[in-house]
Amino acid sequence: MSCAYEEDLTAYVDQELPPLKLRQLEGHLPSCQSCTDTLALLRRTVSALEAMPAFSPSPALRRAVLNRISQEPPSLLDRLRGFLRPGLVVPALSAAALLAVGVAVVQLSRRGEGPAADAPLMVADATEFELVKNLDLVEDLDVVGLESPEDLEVVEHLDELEGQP
Amino acid sequence: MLQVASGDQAAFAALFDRHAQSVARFAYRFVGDAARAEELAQDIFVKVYRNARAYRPSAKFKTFLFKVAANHCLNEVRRGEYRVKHTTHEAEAEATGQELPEAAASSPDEALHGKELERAVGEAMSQMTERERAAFTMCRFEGMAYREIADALAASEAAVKSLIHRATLAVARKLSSLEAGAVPARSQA
Repeated sequence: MSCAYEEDLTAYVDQELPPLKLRQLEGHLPSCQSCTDTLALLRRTVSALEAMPAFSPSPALRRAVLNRISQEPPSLLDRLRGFLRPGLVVPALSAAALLAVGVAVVQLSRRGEGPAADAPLMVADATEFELVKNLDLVEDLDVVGLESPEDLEVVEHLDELEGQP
Repeated sequence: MLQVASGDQAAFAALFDRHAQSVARFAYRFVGDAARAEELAQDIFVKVYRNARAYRPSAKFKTFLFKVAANHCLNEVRRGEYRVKHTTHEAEAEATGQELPEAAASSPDEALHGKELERAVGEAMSQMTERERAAFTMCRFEGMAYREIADALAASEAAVKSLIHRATLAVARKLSSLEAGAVPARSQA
């Protein structure tokens, strides 16, 4: 079974241990042969890896990458920027402004032919007018669904009915 | 990088020249195949160009680059686009006619040891998980700090410490068994 400190050994070789763990490990090492052996093995391995020859890409890689980049389509943002350049934007905005003014003029002239905005509210018939006049009473009586002529008559003569014993 | 983000291809070429070796080396160590590593490196640089606007100057460019590189390599291997091969790159160089830099070894014996070392490291790496291999490569061959590797792999520093330890220990044990003669290195594929 490996020592609990073994996990810290590689970080120790790489000088990546925080100060507290570093002190703990350095205090532990003289008393643990397993960690001392593993540490020596790790150090030899890291040195051997550092001595390995590096891989170098071929010159064709540069040509291939730059060729692919030159064929890349412009990004959406670049296309938008191209679209929004002043040479296009100014005439387009002028045309839009003219169109908006035209629409507004047409709307205003049409509104002039229709009923005035402050015209009095037209009520279709006398019954509706009566109902509107007595709406608070209707609401008090909780008869919002009242529709038949008999019921309306009861409401109309409510004073008299209330006077009866 | 800001110039690259505005579509400056000359700035991109300069960026490529500065980092191509590093990215290609990472890809090579990740898949263990020179031709595939170059394909991956191409894709990585095209991705960097396309996503240049996503780069924030507050982040170190190398971290951003390796984030793209690690994501791309991990995704391609997971999609089955690339099988991890890991042969010696002397063998690769022989096959492709590529020139390799001289190894640190000076005597023939030491050079032979270099080839065996390369083979043993390749074998140990092919048995690592993809994240172990990515973290190990960034640490051992690119000299990146644990914090930078954690950023590139979107992992915690503690997780990276563990990945690197397991991977390094696996390579160390492979080399140890090679030294002890327990694994006849020549018989390995």
